[in-house]
Amino acid sequence: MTWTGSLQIVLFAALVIAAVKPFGAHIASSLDGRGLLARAFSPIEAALYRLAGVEPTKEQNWVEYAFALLAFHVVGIVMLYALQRLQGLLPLNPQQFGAVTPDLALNTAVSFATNTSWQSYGGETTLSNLVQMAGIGVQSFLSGATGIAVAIALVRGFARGASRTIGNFWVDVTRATLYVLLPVCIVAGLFLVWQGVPQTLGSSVTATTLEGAQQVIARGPVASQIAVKLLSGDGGGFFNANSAHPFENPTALTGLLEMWLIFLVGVALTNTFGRMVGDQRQGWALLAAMAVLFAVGIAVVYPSEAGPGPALAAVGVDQAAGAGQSGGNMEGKEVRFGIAQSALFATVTTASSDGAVDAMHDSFMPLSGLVLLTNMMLDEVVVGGPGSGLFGMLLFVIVAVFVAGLMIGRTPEYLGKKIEAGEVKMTMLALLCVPAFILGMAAVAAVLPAGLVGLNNAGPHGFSEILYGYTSGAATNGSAFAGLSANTPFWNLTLAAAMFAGRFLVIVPVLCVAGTLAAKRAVPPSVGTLPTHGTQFVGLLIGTIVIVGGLTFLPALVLGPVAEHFQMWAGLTY
Amino acid sequence: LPRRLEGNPVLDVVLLGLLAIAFAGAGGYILVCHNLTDVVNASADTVK
Repeated sequence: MTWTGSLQIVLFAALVIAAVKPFGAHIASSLDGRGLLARAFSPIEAALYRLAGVEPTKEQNWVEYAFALLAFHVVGIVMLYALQRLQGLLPLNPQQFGAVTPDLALNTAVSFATNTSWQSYGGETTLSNLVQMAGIGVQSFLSGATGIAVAIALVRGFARGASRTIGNFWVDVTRATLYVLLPVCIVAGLFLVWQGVPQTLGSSVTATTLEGAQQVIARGPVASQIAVKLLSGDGGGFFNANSAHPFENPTALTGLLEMWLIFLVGVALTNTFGRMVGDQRQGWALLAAMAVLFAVGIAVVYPSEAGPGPALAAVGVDQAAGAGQSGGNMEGKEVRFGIAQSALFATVTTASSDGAVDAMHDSFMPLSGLVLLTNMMLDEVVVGGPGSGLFGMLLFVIVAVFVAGLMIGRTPEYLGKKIEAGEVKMTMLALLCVPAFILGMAAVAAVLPAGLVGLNNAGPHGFSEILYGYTSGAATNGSAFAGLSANTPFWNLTLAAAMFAGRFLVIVPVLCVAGTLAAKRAVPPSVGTLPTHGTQFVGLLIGTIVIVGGLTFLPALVLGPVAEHFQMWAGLTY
Repeated sequence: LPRRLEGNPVLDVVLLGLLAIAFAGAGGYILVCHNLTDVVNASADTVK
């Protein structure tokens, strides 16, 4: 490790924390329709409602909200599927790409509508500019906005008393898109263009290399796509190499910006939560739990990548960092970014639900791979995606106060709302759905020939590739372990199922909890009320996340990265 | 058109059918959750 590397991590953390309060306030006021942007652009918002036939003042109960959300995504998935299948007949296709195969089109449509952005394809060799912009880009915005809407609906459940409604889905999605995601994306897109990211509707260019060979250099509307892929928690790259590609992430500065954008909405929403429930300390407590889990992750990944690898040490390779070399494990990493930023980016992208990568996770050391997997397995609560991080964390809060209530023999309550059997059952349904799909489907893929055919490695590393694939899908992350060739009907369809379940089968119980909580009256705090803004509660929450979220996966992790770690030190690699 | 679609169009129908089933399942899931919380909360009221 180097001091500049550590400084880079500290600088990133400071920039993230600095954004929490102002952006949290902005989200709260925007979703309420009171913010500066909301007031300035209210005629556009009103025109959109008129066009869509939405009555913005009419609120929905949780069942109506959930059906509206599902209907919205039915249309989104079918439209993205159709765009890909009809790509060859549509304009803005300068490279004249043909139709995407049906299984890949379905996988991609579900992937982007669920905010996962798992990509079984290379963007620059598969999709036209029209599909990138009207399909992928649109779904990036809308899936991110949906996550924010669901989180805000759940927060209303805590903030309101004796209410039958939790907001209006159409209004929440419109405001989250117009006032939260779009303005930041415009500024970030221009910043990326300034740093050298292309933004053109033109075709690829052909260059002659110094050796006289012809090289096709792909271009396109990259900057606009990259801004939203990061901010919306989407992560799907315009290029196959994602943020390791110099046209997606040209400088160290863009690398820093990209990581900051990935965390921005997730961390700010904790403050939005605090404001909406009338006690910002509650939001800081959630952020503290996220920060501790994140700090533990980066404290493992950075030293693990910067330290000497045993296989190279055994043959006497000098792995110390110095003026002439970075030292440590540079396999699969961009030389422009080095070990510290690659380790930080990987931890950020798996802690959030983004899934953009600037290094190949498959090449990370086994212990680092363990952290990246665990980040995703914890159900997107280490910051998480826009909205999904907050509602995932609030699910664990419900479990934590339930456990605390059992320990002291009182009815559990949070923010004055009694947590009863209905909420706990729905919470467990949401929390168990993801592990059931990850572990169940990984087990099936590990024994079926169709599942094994795409693996590039044997042994525990191969198992990690399978486990990572389904974890990334069901946790709606979308990053890949890179050692898996997933563009086969088996992988495309099973991953589509994992993404669908990991998104919608979690959101439905979350909205159900929002509805039941909103209907309850808040009870005033008493001497027996568990304080939920102090260090004691933060510790309880972290313990709950690790035990409930993490231990579920321990046996699978032992078969994958843990086994690989010990075998590596015994001289066996895969 | 089928030739430009590349691949068997029947597969499109099958996959979109599967998608419809998945969404129908998710819709049913909403109703199950709704009924489940109603039953649970009703029984909780009885206990009180």
